[in-house]
Amino acid sequence: MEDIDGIARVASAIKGRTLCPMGDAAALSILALVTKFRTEFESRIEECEAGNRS
Amino acid sequence: MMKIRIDDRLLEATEGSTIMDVAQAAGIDVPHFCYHPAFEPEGSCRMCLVEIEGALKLELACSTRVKDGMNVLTSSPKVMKARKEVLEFLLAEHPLDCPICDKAGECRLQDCYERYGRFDAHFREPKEKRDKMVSIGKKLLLDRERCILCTRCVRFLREVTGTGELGVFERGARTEIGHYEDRRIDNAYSGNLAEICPVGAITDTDFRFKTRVWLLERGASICPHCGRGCNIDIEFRPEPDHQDPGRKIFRVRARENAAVNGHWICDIGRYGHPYWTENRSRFVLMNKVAKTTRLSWDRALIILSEKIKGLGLRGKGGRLGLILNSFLTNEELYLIKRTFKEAVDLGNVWFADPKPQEADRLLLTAERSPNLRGALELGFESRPPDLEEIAKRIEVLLVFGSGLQEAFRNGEVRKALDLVPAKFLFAAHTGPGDDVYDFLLPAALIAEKAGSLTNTLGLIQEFQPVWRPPGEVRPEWEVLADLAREIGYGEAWTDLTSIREAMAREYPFFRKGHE
Repeated sequence: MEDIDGIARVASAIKGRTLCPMGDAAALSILALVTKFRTEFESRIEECEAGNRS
Repeated sequence: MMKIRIDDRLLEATEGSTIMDVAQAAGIDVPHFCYHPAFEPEGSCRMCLVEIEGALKLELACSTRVKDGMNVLTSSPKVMKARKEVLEFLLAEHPLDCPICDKAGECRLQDCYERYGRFDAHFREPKEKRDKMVSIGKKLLLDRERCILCTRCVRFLREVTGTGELGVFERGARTEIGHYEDRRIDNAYSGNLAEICPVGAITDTDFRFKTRVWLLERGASICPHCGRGCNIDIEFRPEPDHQDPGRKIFRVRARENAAVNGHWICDIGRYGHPYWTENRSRFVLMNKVAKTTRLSWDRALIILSEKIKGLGLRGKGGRLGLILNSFLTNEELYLIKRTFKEAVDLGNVWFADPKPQEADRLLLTAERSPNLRGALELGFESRPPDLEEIAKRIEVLLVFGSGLQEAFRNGEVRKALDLVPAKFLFAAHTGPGDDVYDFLLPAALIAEKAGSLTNTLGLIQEFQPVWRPPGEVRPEWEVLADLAREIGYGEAWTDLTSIREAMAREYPFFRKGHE
């Protein structure tokens, strides 16, 4: 779970601050993924954790 | 002229200047790595991000041109957050070897982390391993782990020396600085690279691992190795020693002066620092039949003045000879001119200076002494010593500096000087031909005295002593003033100000403002 926050943190630190627009391009898509589809990530992580435990 | 606001200060700015220019001129610190006032902005380090009212995102202070009415914030919460995060990226791959890094203590990255970073580490991945000791030039080593890719070194070699040995290779995470094929850095200004590197990526083998920068003391002086008169800082460590309140010089760095040397100095001045400390003559010595004894300054000056007075008033100038050099300051040359007027008028004055060498198109001048222009402005002619003439006519000879030994073969000097009854050497360095003189008087170097030098362009630069002279060394102007008094020369010179005033009265050239 904290990885999702980590990804969001790094992506927003890159966004709008790079010399090359590649930085924005990479950061924006990832940032959109982890914010707009956060629940999907979370449920997938929960599934895996549950699966591992059983 | 336009008006902009930075951190609530209303500032004037000229068209085309950048936010960084205006902020720096006003003393507002905007942290940066890749920006250097001598180069075109690069904008690669991202450290100088500032907030501009109305702009969508943060902009770079180093490359954003000012617009009238712009309102800039350099330490808003948004900016501070950005700085912290930019630093985290820069440090993500930067090794933590500060304890063994030469730059520690004067490292921009270290300073910026202290001020703006202070974050908890988020990166769990190990740092990349890269080459830590790449020899990129004569005295330069590159540590690719420490490099933050600011490209100051690349731009210096392209824009200042025009030699372009370094370039940026590869892309993305593999980006690195390197030299093209076999063209290692081999130009006369390479030492500046270690100075402009904002981190410890480029280190100088001349300085590497010798000391820590916070132990050094620094004094402002003028480089004596050519006619440019580059402004330098000499950095040394005062090491107490009862023999000599001596010191060890660790490095010489460029001191910024836009009118003379900009931000740079050449390698001759930078690596020529043994000049300041090695082979120094320290004591007043008398050579008498293969025996050298010490004596006091007072005694030596009395002997010298007796010798000069012994020549008799009439024709005194004809038998007194002076071998000068253009390492002497304006004030000293002026004192000599006044005190030994007859000798000067009769043309018994020669100059023993280093041979002119090729000038380069940057700083180094053809003449390799710092005050030839001053000597010429004072009406001296820079004639090389005529040993035959000296041997024939001169009875008391005053030699300044070691230039005579360097200009002629030792045997020639010895042969000629053996015919001169009384010979006095005022020199800062000892040399193999010293025993030919009757008296050796230790002279001061520029870092040990006050005075002024006139550079090739005619700029008069004053300087102050950096440290106390070693041993019994005394500045030549003091000795000359004493001597003038001793031989009954009318005026009493007691300080440099009165000498300068008299000099300016007589020579309008020296009336203009001192730097």
